[in-house]
Amino acid sequence: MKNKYVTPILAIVIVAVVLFGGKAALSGTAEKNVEIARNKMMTALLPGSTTFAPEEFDAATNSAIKSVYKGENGYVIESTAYGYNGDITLMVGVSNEGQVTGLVVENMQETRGLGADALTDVPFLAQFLLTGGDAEVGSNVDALTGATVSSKAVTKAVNSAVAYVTGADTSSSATEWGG
Amino acid sequence: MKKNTMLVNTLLAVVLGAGLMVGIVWRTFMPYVVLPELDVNACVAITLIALVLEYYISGKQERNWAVQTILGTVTFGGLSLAAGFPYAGVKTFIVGAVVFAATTFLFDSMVCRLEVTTDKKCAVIPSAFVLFLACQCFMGMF
Repeated sequence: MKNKYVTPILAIVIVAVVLFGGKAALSGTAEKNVEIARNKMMTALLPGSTTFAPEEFDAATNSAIKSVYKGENGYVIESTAYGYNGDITLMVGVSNEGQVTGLVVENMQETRGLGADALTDVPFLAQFLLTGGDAEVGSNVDALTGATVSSKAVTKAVNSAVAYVTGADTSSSATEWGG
Repeated sequence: MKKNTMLVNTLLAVVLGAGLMVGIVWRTFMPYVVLPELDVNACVAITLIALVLEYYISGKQERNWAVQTILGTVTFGGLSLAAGFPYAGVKTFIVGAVVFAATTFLFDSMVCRLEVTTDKKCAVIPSAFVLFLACQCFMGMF
């Protein structure tokens, strides 16, 4: 008699092999597409720059920074802050003068309908444009309705990116939860 | 009630595998699209799809809770690791185990009640949907 456990175990193994193989087969294309999309995004975030070179940075003193790309007239910085439901990662364009020229939320897992609106809420994100590391919820930034923690986390990530360029110290304003 | 054939575990692997494959393709061609995490809600939805399919294919079945929960755990944890999802790990194993066991128990309880009605075939899908909504409300409490 056929063992009833064989079929599900076989199904799990086959599906795992297919997924692993599919991922391996597509990894080259994925890396190429990430590069293309990143360059396109960085050109939009930092108008006036066309080439971007990765820059070394001290991760110990810049814990909020994940990566830095230097353009002709500024930087595009990948910065992160802890939101309501995990890290929120942003790509922020900062000019050499220390002004935010563009930003986009790269990754987040905030609550749908509340904090996750930071992904697409243009009026909310537009408030950070041309700020110089002085963005503050309740002062010059209106928080997303019902998502103060997520809004503060985005603010903190933006200010951290600017601080990397200007050399300002943001540690005093940092809190454990959402800036 | 029919003899346990472990069909739900086979279907769970297929449904989750299909979802993860869509995720892999999506991330390959649209790398900056933010995909939903394999969280409690997603695990419940996937488990319910497998349970509904099982019901329509072979009706209500007996369960071997220990073995089926272990296989459910391995399915959620192992397949998300094989797909290389960045958030895969111990959390996915634990969430997968709890969600699979709880959802299967609740769904089976509902199906037991449906067995006495005449239109049970149609009632299974809305029942699963209501269970999914209940899970979302439950998660909203945290």
